[in-house]
Amino acid sequence: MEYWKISFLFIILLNSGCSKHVAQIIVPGHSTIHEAIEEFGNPKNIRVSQLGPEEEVFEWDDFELIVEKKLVKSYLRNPVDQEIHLQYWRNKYHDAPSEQKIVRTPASEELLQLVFPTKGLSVVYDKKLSRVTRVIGHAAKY
Amino acid sequence: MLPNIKLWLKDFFKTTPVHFKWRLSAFVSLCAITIVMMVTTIWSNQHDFKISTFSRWEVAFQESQQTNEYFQQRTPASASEQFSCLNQKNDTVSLKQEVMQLEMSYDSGKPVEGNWRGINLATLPTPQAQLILDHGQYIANNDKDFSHCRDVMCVFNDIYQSQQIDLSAEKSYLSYYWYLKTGSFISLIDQHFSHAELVNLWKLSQSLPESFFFLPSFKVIRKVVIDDGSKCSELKSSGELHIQPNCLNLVSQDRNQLIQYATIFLNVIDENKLIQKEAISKSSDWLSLSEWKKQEHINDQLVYSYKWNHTPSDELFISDFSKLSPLDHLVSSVAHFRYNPDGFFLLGQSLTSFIAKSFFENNYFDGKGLHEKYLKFANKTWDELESGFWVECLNNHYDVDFIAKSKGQSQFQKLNSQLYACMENKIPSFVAKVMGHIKAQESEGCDFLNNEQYKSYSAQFHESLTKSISKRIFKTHFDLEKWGVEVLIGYKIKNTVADELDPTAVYVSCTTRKDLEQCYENRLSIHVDSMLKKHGKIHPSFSDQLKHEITERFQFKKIMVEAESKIKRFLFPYYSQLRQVSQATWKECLSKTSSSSSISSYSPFDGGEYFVQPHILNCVNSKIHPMVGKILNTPVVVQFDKKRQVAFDLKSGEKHYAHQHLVRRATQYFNEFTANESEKEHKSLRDFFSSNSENMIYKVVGDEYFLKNIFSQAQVKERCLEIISKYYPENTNFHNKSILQGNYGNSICHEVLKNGKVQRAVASTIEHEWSNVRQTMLKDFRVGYQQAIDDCYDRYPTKLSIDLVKNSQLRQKCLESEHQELSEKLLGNFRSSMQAEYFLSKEEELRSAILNIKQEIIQKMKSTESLIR
Repeated sequence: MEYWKISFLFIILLNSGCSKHVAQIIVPGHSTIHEAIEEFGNPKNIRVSQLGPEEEVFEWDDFELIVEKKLVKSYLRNPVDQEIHLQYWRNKYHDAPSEQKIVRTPASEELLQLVFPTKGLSVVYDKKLSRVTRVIGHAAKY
Repeated sequence: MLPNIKLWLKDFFKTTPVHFKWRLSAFVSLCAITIVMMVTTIWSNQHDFKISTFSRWEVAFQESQQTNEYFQQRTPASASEQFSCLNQKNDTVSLKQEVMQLEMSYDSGKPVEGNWRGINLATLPTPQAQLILDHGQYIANNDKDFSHCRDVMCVFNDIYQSQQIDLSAEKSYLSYYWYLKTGSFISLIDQHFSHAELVNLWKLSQSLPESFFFLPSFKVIRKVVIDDGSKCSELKSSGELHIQPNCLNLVSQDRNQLIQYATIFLNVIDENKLIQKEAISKSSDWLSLSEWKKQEHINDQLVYSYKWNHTPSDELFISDFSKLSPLDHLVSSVAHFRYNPDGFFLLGQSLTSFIAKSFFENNYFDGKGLHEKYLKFANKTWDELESGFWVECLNNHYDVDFIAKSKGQSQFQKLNSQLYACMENKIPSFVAKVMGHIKAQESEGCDFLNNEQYKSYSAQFHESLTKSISKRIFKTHFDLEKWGVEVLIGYKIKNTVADELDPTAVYVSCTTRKDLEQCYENRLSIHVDSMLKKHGKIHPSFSDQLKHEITERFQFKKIMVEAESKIKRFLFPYYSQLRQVSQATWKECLSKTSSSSSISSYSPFDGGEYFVQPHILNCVNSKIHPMVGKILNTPVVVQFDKKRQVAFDLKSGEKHYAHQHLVRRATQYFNEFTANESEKEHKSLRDFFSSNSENMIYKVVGDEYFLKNIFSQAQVKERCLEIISKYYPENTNFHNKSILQGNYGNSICHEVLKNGKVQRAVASTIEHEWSNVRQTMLKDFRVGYQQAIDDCYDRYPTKLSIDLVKNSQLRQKCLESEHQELSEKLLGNFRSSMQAEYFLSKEEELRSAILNIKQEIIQKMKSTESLIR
């Protein structure tokens, strides 16, 4: 029985070691794009941001980085496991200041953004799909 | 070999210790039991989908409607005109009849307990009572009494009449028809829909596939003004479809109106969880086909935004509206595909076939598509009836039983023209029946057969149909000659299999699988094979043909829609009970108090967008499954007459599926309760804070200790929030500290910041602090700079020597660079110091003070220098 438990733990550790999470590697406001490329390989696509030519967006399969002057300003990624529940985030940061904003959408969509400024984190919740669709890391603001 | 094993066994039993033998025997027995259980499970699984409880119930339910007195009183009178056109049946008489027929298919006859505005729900047919339970808040939001009403049509009529609206009776039937047909309700508390608008909705309900309706995410239609004027409709997470009033009358032409209505309405089908798990508009298939790409952004103020980009080509768009986003593109495409097929098909094959496959079971609605669709229907109907016709004709000419027994093929080689003529004679009446059905049951049926628009296809239709049936008769004729008695046996088997096989059971047995469609097809194939084998030997190629014909009859998409509708009707009587029990559970969970801060599970109820205290979430999630399980333990009873009734208990696989279905529905109830309660709490908090905020400001401003120690706006805000959080109401169920701070705390502390007393205190602290900081910094600078000067003078002395001029220049440079270095160091320290954010505006002041010190010291040194010299 113990053997199975150990093997199971080992497999979990092995798996978690294999897939590095963007949130574990990238610290918005501090990490550079070179560090990101070193860690995750070349991006799938690079484009100029809609806000202006100084900002570039580097796209990988499951996340993207917004970069200004080689410095990563923020990352956007898909939620995993329990992160799809807005309640998970509300509960996780229940003491941290939060702001809830309605996202103005160009289409018939209904989104809200929950920002935890001091935690450097925002989540986007799709009210129609009843789940969090995006997790955004940015520099913490006090 | 065998003697050796015997010898080994003998030796084994002699030499092995007794306790080991016991263990071995136990192990062998365990293995045997496991194998028996596995075999039993496999066997029972195979037999599980023979006839499902849902199908047995449906047969009994239909039978009970013939015998039960309650239903006999409610049975609608038969139609006066047998084949009237479907698209013209919107008069009160036809509507009444349709409504009664639809209502009966959901009416369990089991009374629903409760009372609403003076109406005893137990006196209403089940669907009407259910409508009131689920949508009562959308019927009337005042205290009006409806005790004089005996049904919901009376209630609707009352409301429509109170608005002095003509055609109120017809409107009432149209509204109730929409509810029965789609499962959603047309709100009566907002601006009312006009008669013409309701007729258009009625047309939608007639012409869109069944799979578009009874969606969990779509509960009610409300005609209300949408803030964003550019939008015509908005599907809210609460299940409300908001429709912009002026969008409903943008176009006048009948067909264009339907496109407009469908575009508004079809928002709801994107997230049809029955067809697909994810929204189609967001699927990679659609995004790559329609060439949309999402570009997201978050700006420095942490505001998230995005826009949809599209490749410049306009070829894929049918309207300007479709250029807004992938969802609008999809919705517009589906609407045009259905009501403007000729125009839509110009956009290309890939887009057209995607829409046909994803939404319309590969049916098309242009002239050619309708021609094919109706022909397919006619062939299917013929397929089901043909064997009966043959038997009927054969009976007139041969002793079929004798032929079947003798298995002689020679008898059929003599098939004469009489038999063939008998079959050919059946064609005209069959064709007439099919045409009648198309007119009465298909929304475009009459148009197709009568209108100029479809003339080229409708003219062919009669001929194609007759030809196709003649061809089939000839083929069977040929088969009879070739295979002889096997064809008759084959037909018999095909009909028996089709009668015995319950595709609902096969479908339900696969609902736990991710590859639902694949599983269904595999199991159906295995099942048909085994049934064909059971019915005797048939030639393999003929057997394959039969199998193909049977599986064609039970195509996945069709069966899925039929099975889901059957299951929904079976479960319908549970809904009212489920709602009542959910309400009781909700109250119980709200009344509990707990300090639990961890959530044990987010499933099935996660609170959606609202904050829910962990203990409530945990309580609901721990009770939801047992609650549904308990409800499902009560069987559905069909009452045939006063004496006879049959109870239908679900088998384990069916129960599992029904359980999931009811859990989903219960979760919707809990989401609804959460939204209502959260809104209620929000209102009471707003009242609380509006009457207590001044007091809270006073508490902060009046705190002497607080005023003594404030030196920055950020610090004031932080400390203010800390102080006022002590006065937040306790035991809020749907607002935590973080939300209260965001909603109310911030604005209270903003007021505190604007308070004169606080501003003066901050200014005075800042002045005092700044004076200290300035003094310390300048003192340090003076000492450092004095040392640097001494250093420079030591290195480049002023004594008379040959280097006097050179030393003077170097000393000057040394003094400059030391000053530069010390200034930068001091300003760097100033900027990175803890207080920097409060004093940043004072940097210039510091800079000029440093310069003054420099000049002062240098002046002093220069005067000393001249004295020495």
